[in-house]
Amino acid sequence: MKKILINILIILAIVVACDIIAGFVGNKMLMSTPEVGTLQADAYQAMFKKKADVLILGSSRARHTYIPSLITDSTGLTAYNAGYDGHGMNYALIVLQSFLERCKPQVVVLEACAAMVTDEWLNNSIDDVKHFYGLNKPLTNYVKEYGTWQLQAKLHSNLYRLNSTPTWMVKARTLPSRDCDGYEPQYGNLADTAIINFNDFKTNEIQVKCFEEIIETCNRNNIELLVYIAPSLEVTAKFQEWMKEFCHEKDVILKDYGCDKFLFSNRHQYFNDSDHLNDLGARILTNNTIKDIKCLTISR
Amino acid sequence: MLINSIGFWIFFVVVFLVYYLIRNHRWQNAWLAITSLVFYGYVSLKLLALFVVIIAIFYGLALGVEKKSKNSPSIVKWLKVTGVCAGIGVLIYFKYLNFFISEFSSLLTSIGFTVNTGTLNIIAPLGISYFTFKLISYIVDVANGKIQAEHDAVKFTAYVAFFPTLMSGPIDRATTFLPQLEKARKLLPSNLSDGSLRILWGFFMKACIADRIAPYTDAIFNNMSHHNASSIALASVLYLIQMYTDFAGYSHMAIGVGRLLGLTVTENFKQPFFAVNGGDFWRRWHMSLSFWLRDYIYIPMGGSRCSKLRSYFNVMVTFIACGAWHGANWTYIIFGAHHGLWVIASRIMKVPREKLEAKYESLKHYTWFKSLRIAISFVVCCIGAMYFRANSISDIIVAWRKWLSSDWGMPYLQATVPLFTFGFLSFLVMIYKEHQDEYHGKAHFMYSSSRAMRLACIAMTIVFIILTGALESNSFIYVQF
Repeated sequence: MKKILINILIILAIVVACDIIAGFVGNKMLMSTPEVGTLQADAYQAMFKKKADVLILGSSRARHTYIPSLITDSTGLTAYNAGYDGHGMNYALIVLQSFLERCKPQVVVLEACAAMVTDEWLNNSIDDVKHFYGLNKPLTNYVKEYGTWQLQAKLHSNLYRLNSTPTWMVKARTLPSRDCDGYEPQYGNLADTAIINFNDFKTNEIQVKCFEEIIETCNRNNIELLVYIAPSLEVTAKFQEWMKEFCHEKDVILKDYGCDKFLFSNRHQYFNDSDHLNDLGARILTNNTIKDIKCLTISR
Repeated sequence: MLINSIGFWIFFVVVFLVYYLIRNHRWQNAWLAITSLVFYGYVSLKLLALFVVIIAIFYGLALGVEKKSKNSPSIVKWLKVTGVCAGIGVLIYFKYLNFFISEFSSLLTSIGFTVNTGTLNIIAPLGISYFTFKLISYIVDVANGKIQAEHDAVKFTAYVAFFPTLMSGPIDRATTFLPQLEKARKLLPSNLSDGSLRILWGFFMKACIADRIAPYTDAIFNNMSHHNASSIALASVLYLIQMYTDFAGYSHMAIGVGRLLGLTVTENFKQPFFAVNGGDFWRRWHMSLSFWLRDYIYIPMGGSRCSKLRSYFNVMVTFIACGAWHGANWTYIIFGAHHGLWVIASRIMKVPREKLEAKYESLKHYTWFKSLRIAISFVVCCIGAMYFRANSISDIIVAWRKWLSSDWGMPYLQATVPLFTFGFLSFLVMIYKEHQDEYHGKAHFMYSSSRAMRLACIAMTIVFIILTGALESNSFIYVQF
């Protein structure tokens, strides 16, 4: 039994040594992630590097819909799209707070969808950026406030924090560096515009709190907040009603293209798939967003 | 509370510590029975009472069988039939009744009757397929005089409800498990190290291979009509690997937990990817189920000690039962029939193969000939895996239509970087280990004779799992059965 205990101690010592080395090397590599346009590399840019006058937040529906270069060309304001596939309000809040540590945007465009305020993406958002735990203050604070005790315990391990990181890190280092604005165009064309209705909708307390905190942060910092619901053929009517009420209650501007009857309805040529616009559709929606941004910035 | 969750391990540590503080085997059994029932109640409190009632019925039936075995063989026979029917009845009610109702309803609809039967709101008890098979084999073995009925209700409960194997097997036999509960279990260093290594290897298979593959196979099989033939073929290959690593991973962990408690749990897998034909495959794959089916369905039907045609019929019935055991869906029946046909084909091919080997003696020794047989077996298993994973028969038709058409192109490879890097690397490690186990015995990696090598391998496996494994999984394929 004594021999086994010694063996266990040796194994533990090796694992702890690997954990420390992995943490040191991992942090060095993470903080020098090149700008290559992959999701994780863009998350690094959004959380640590980029500065912009117009900040776009949201999920894949933001990432594939709002074109920062168009906004810059039309308004003269720098813009950055920080949308991340499958991420909710909690991620949007972390990015906003991270931005505020570097600069103060004039306008925040928040693209909202049902999954962002339900528990569907609650864990994805943290799981995909957990490698920045301890490096990014807003993320660390979020985990301390809302993370489960299991997650907090596991994040003491560098190995756990860096879980799956090597794959995207290697990929990011093999791709050519380029200036990215976070927008990722899609060029598909949907054949049919049949609407899919979803009835299930139940908000998640944490996601709603994060949404409230985004609104409060914008108000506190005198940032104009525009909440959008981009066109989609996947309709959750209950969510749209909830958003309408919530934004009305919080006195936030909401532009709901989910109920659009004029620009996008029955126009399959604007859709890449049932929930995302293609580049053509994205240009039309971005031009409309530009009008709203202009109205807001002129009134300032 | 799955075996790979933090909750399970906290629970296990408590069980483990108290278990070894108790020196008396009766109290150890009582502790096992209580904690197993607590475990069951935690996962499914509503059905705990039903579970206890089922255990009590079989306990009583076995005592009745034993009491009447000397003077009333006909009553013994009736009690045995009652036990078997009760086990099957429970299975049918909880797993298949809704399926029968809906199939009957659609049959009536197809011949012109308008019916609206609806379905019953039935929740199947956790691990029903596993514990009913344990109980059926127990009552049959008692009636056949293979074992004596267990008089100690606590010990019997500890056997049936043994928590590591409750959710997903292996299906332990009373003949091998109950005798282990007759003496006190001591904490032995060999059990501690063997058990821990099995658990670690199980984690590796589950987190680094099965859960890396799952997102890909889910993407393809949940949307089959949108993918081309090569994507479906790749997904079928990957699903076979996922099925194996998921289930074998669970089995390793369950066996490891059993070993830590000083108990030997039945082995469930023995390098199935090195099988050379259908029969060989089923002697290596889900062994606790396949041997159960052999002993309690195939052999009682006459086995192979009858005409060839009759034995083929027996094989088909056994394998269709094997498919049906997995669940109420025609896809499982097709899976069973596919494997049944393969076993029959392997038997038919045995004579010409042996003639060929006799004619060309060297063929027996050629690695390529064996490799060819292994490769053919692997392809047949991949097709079986597709049947198993397909959501419906129409999906199976879609797959075959695509395979037989010219819809072959580049497979879908999006969002698969971790699968084709870490997952593939882990798979190679696993295949290397299995190859060594198959042909050279256990003397590698974590079992190396060199202490330094052994400890380094164990530590590196832990590091590799934490760094590259898919750690947030909350399901096992075979828990649903």
